[in-house]
Amino acid sequence: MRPGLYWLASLLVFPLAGSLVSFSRPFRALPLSSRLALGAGVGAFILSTLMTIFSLIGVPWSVPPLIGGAVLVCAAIGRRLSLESAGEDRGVSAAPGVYRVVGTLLVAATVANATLATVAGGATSADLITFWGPKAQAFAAARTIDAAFLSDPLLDYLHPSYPPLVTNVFAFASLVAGRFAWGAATATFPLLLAALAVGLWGLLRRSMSAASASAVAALVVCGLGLLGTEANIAGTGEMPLLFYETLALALLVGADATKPSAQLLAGLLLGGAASAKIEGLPFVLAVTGLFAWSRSQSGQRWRVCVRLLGPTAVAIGTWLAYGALEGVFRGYEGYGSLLKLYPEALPTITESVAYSLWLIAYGMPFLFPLVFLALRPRPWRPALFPIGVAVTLACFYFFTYLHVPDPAEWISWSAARIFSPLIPLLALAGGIGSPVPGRFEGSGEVEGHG
Amino acid sequence: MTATLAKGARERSWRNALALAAALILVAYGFRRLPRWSELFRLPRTPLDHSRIHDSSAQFRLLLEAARVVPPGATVVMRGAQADARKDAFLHRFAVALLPGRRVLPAAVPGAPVSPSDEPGAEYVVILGPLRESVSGDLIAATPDGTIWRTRRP
Repeated sequence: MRPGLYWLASLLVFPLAGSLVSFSRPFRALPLSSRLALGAGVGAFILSTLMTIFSLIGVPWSVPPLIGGAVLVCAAIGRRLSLESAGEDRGVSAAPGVYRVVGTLLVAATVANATLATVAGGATSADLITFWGPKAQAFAAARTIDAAFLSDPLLDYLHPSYPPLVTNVFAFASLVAGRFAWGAATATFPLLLAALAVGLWGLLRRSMSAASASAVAALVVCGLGLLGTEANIAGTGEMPLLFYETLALALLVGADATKPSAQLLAGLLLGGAASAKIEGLPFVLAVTGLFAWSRSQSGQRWRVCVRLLGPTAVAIGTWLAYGALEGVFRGYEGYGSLLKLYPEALPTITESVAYSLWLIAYGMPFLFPLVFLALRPRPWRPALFPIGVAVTLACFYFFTYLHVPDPAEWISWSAARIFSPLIPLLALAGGIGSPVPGRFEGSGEVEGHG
Repeated sequence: MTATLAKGARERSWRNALALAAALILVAYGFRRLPRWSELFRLPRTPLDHSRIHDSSAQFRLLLEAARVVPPGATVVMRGAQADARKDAFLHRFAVALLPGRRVLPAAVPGAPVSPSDEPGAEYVVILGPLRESVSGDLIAATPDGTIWRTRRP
């Protein structure tokens, strides 16, 4: 029990280091809870990237230098961000309206449900046992990313090219605790769901009414919580991926999205998404491309792209350089030639994807945000960015499945998880962009259209 | 303008209420899917006990026992009591995870089983399930989930 507690306690390093970024001047108008959640994401991303850099240059992992390095990097980023003025305080109301109370209760109930399911051993993924856990365990024992372990021909199922954030973070916690803790690793699912819940509301509240923010946050968190327990994602890269993707998206659809500081913070979160799972990279590219195209002026686009893509380029570039130099992998694993497709499999893919999503609580986590979006009032323009990302991702996943002549089995165990980012994308698209009632009434101000 | 905004506010209000109702349904469904309360508050023996792969709990428990009796650095092979290449390949993955510091050899790779007599030079053999044939070696642990043997090496 005690190693498990140490293992979990070590994760507190992430919000402590990352808060040097998320508590910097431009984000002072955000609620404390949001800044802590954002800080946790940034801290984990910076520390993981440092671990990869240490491995690349041959420096063995040790806890004090890793923490010190993460604090220094976060302090440097925070100092740079502090040159920008503080975000406008939009007077986030502390008054608990009925929507906010109900939304908070529902989110708390979902986190409680995810915790109970996880503690009872009802949400654990086989992938934790078959590759996430063993890799983290081996990395902690070797005090580096263990190229020999990843290259072992008897262990060809380990997906050696999978990006390193989850295994690095798990290895860091194992270094602190003295061993890998399986139960504690599964607890990252409800912990990240809770962190997402407290972070998301404050971000949405910057650009929506309290009622809308509560409704959208509840729809997202309750959807992801149910999907997580039904699809058994505890202890894998899914929840970190969803945490990073959702918070980055909430920043980029918000009122502050045009500010360089918000874009850099979103870029750090997108770096976390790309480092958490392979699926994070298409998400990052779709978000960056569509955001730069739809929400920035033509002369500013390359700067926006640098802010959003820079952290991803550093993290994934380091990872791919490590793989190539150690001879473990050259690029991400693929599914044959890019244009060798099996279009005759399209009906099977469509049917199998629909069936897989249906198996997750009759598709409710996906259908409810879709209905919420369909019922949104005009104007639709602010929603086009998240809708565009959702459509791009869905097309990309269909394109990926088309590389296999009979992908039904592959879809049966992967579709619900890889399509899960559609839940926050659809819910946010449904919630942003409506005129804010009450406080802004009469001004014609539009939610999330800063 | 005021009338339009008021209409928009009404639309938003019922949409928000609808979203919260949808969230309530998701939460209720989630609680309905939890294990029975009597099982929920009993600490599970493995993190898999109520998961989709709960039938793998037995090998998890057996490997926890193996981790206690098989010394670091030893070579180990894990297999089922009945030859099944696909299952044995899966067992190998579990053994790699739960026996860190040991050299875990596969009893099978998918499509190419290794017969028990050909166990590839392992010092220890972990067998899941009730034994169906004799094993050449010394029994060092037996649990309801299986047995752990030290082989007699030439």
